Amino acid sequence: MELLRGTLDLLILRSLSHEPLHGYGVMRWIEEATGQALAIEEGSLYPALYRLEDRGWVESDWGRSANNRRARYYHLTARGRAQLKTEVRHFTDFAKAVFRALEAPAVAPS
Amino acid sequence: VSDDRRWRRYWRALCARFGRDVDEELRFHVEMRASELAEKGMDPEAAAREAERRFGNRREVRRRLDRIERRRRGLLRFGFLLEELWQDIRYGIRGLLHRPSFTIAAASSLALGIGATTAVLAIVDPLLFRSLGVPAADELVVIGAVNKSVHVVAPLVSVPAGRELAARGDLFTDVALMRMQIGAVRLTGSGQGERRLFFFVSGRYFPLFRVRPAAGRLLIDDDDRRKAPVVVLAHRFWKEAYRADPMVIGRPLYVNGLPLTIVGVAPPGFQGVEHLVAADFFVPIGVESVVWPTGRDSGECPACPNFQVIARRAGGRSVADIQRVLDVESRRMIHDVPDLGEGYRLLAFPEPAARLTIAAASTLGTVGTMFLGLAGLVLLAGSVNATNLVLTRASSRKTELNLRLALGASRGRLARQLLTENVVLALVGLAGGYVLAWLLAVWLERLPIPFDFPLGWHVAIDRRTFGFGAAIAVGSGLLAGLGPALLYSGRDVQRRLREGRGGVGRGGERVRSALVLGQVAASVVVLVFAGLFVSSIRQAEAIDTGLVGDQVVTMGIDATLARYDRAKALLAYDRIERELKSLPMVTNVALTTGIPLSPSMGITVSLYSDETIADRRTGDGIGSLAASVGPDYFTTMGIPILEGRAFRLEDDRAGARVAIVNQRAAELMWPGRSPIGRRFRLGPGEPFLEVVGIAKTGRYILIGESPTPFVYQPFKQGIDDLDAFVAVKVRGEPELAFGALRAAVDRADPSLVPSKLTTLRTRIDDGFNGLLPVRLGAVIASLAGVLALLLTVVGLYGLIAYGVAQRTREIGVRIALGASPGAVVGGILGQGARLAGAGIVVGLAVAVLVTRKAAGLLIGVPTTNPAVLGAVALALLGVALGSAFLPARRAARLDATQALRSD
Repeated sequence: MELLRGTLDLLILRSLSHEPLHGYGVMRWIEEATGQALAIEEGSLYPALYRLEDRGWVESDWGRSANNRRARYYHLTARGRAQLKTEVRHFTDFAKAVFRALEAPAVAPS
Repeated sequence: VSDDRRWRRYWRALCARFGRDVDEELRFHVEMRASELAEKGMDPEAAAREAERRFGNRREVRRRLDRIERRRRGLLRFGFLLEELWQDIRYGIRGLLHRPSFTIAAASSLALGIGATTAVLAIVDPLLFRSLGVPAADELVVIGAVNKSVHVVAPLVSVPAGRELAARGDLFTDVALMRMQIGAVRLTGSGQGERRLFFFVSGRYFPLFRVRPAAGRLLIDDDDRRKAPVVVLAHRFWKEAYRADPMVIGRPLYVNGLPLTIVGVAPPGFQGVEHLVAADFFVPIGVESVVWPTGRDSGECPACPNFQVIARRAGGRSVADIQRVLDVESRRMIHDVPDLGEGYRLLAFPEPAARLTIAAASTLGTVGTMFLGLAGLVLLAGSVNATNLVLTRASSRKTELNLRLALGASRGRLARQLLTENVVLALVGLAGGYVLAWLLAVWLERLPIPFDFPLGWHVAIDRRTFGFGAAIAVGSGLLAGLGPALLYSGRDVQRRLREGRGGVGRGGERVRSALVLGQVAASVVVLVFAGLFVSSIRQAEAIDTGLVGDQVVTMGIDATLARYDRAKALLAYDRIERELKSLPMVTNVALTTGIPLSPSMGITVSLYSDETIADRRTGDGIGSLAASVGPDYFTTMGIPILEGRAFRLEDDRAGARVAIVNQRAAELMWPGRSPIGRRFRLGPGEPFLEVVGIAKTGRYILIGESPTPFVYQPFKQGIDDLDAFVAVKVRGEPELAFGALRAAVDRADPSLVPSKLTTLRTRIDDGFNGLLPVRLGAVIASLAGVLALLLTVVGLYGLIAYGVAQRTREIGVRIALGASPGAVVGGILGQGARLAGAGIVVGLAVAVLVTRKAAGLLIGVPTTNPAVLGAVALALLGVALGSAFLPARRAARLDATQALRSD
């Protein structure tokens, strides 16, 4: 299943809301959380991460991974957290509206 | 200290690290994925391939990341630059605050220069340079003429001649005529009358300028042809007299008693090509013969050349082309209309250039140039001062700068810092200059300039004038900063450090000395001007005008403004004379066709004595001025009759034709013989006049004029000029009598509108033709002189004090070796005197050359005036020694041991 435009940013922010993760960790979280339903080209994750960092929603530090390798860890900033909240609300509103439309009778109310 | 080299290294490292980090991050991802797949049992090689596939095009990703990073880096770099600039500014301000005396001296030097220049520009610019503000103003050409007696280009074109020019479609796309006129104006049929200035204009006048009316309509060709009694108001007059009431259109305005219908209002600020004076309204030329029934109808009179032509050049025609055609036309006109005279020649000028040559006083250009020149010299002195102070400052900071250079600060950065500091300094000077210019402009605008009509210009400090000053200020700031910066580049650090205090070295010292020398020279020039004007006032005040002006009040009474004919006018003048004589405070009353020290005094005539006429084949007489005066004129004005008699009541139309000549005219016509009883005439074919008296030669039109031949005729026999004046001698304070005199004229004839009343004393002291130009010149040149002198003191003091500081060790050695304090002081004073002396010599030489141009403005003073030159030289030498004395004394008091230990 292809990703809707703009959803990747939302998913990245959400993945970081719990704990700092490196890029691969973010990827893994998205795969597991969506039950592998979304097809993401892994490479496109990084430009998204850098853009988020550019906007000041996430920050990164170099740290040690579980297997003791040098890895870049991303975490949410306060602004990132706020952004996550708005994006979640927007997306839910959007999805609800689409669902409502899908469940409505096919004939326009007079 | 932010340091360029270190910063650049850091920046490169940062970029390299970014590249490494990205690679590592992406590799980490792919390897993590591969090892995860391998854990799930995939063959390690296949796992690696699968991980790479899932990741996608790694190179493409890398490119995208680089792009994002580059943008971020750009913003970062810009931020750094801003920060650096802000740092420089803060550093500069801190440095300036740290040395308040330097800052105050340098900034006020600049401010003085900028202020003076801007103020003078603000006066001169609207008068001489500013564009008219009408569409395609560069096409406008003004045409006037010269003739045998009028050598300044004057409005001397007749209406028929103008019509012929208008027919030359190959030269002009449009041609209009105009003439200034004074009229007796009433807003209502019965109200108080007032004299106002207006323009007679042809129908093409407004269309030529391509302006739109502010209300109603403007004048058109048809108004001229139909001789329509209509008038267009100037915007300023409409606001003043009618409070900008739009309902005024259709109402009458009474000019010389005739109602003219107001049809419109000209746009704000519009006054045609005139700059000195402003018209109150515009009337079609066709109406002229109606408003002046006694006057000629200019419209049909080729021998009435009293208009000015304004034209638009046809495409591709230069003013020189036009002039060539005008030269041919002029010759043809002289042939067709001999009255124009032999020397008659039409002259064309492009519009802004015409302001200096046509209509305006010919001295305007000289005055403007002189003021601009003086201000320029003050600006020069100010900028030189600032530059010098900055140079001095830079030298004294040499050790600091060298140290920073050695520690790795780049030259570029140091130069940038010096530059920023100087720009900050220039900005402070600029702000000060603006305030000063504004104060000067207010002061100049309030200078009492007596004029009967509203002036067409005002002092305006605006973007244009101030922008010029600003450009100069910032430019000189940059220059002053660039100097030290250049001195700092291109030499190696080691040598600079070794040089120690001697630093910038002989070259820098020479530059500074040359600058101070130039400054002294500029001050000398300004002061010579001031001195010439001040002594000119002295001379002018001592001039015997041949007039006793204190108790004499003058007013103009122009009977033509009431549309009187000659008989009616003479009756009215008699009534006025009687009425004035009946006033208790009046002792004498005299009618005259001219008032001394005004342009009205005398028409130009040629004298032919009965003995010389026979052998004058050339037909040229002696050029002279003439006026017609009443019997009491000489006693009223206090002009002595040296021989013979004054005029009597019997010298009227019925009596024998008589005249009184002044000494100069007598000398020229009958050298060495008494003229009493001899005869002369004012032109071939004119009646002979018998000389009955000799009057003392006085001053007639200008206070500075050379002795001029003058002929008086009895008022009732003389020239047919109904635009007369009355001179009244009163007891007591003349100003107190003004009201009573005005009332008496009104009682005698309510339809005559007298001009503004003035005392003869005011004409002499404050008149344009009296002492006013010299006085103004003296005030302004003196002000410039004081400023220049102040700047010189600061400049000399700065240079010498700096020199003393630099040579502390040397002086210490000399004192240690037994030099007396006197010798030390003498040496330093000598340095100051040498510097000033050279500047004075250069300045005097320049002054002698340039003051010659101002000779026309000076009265009774040769421009090469040894007294003035000597006084200025002495004053500057004194100032130089004074400026050198303080540093010299400081040097003499140096403690030898401490001085030796310094640096």
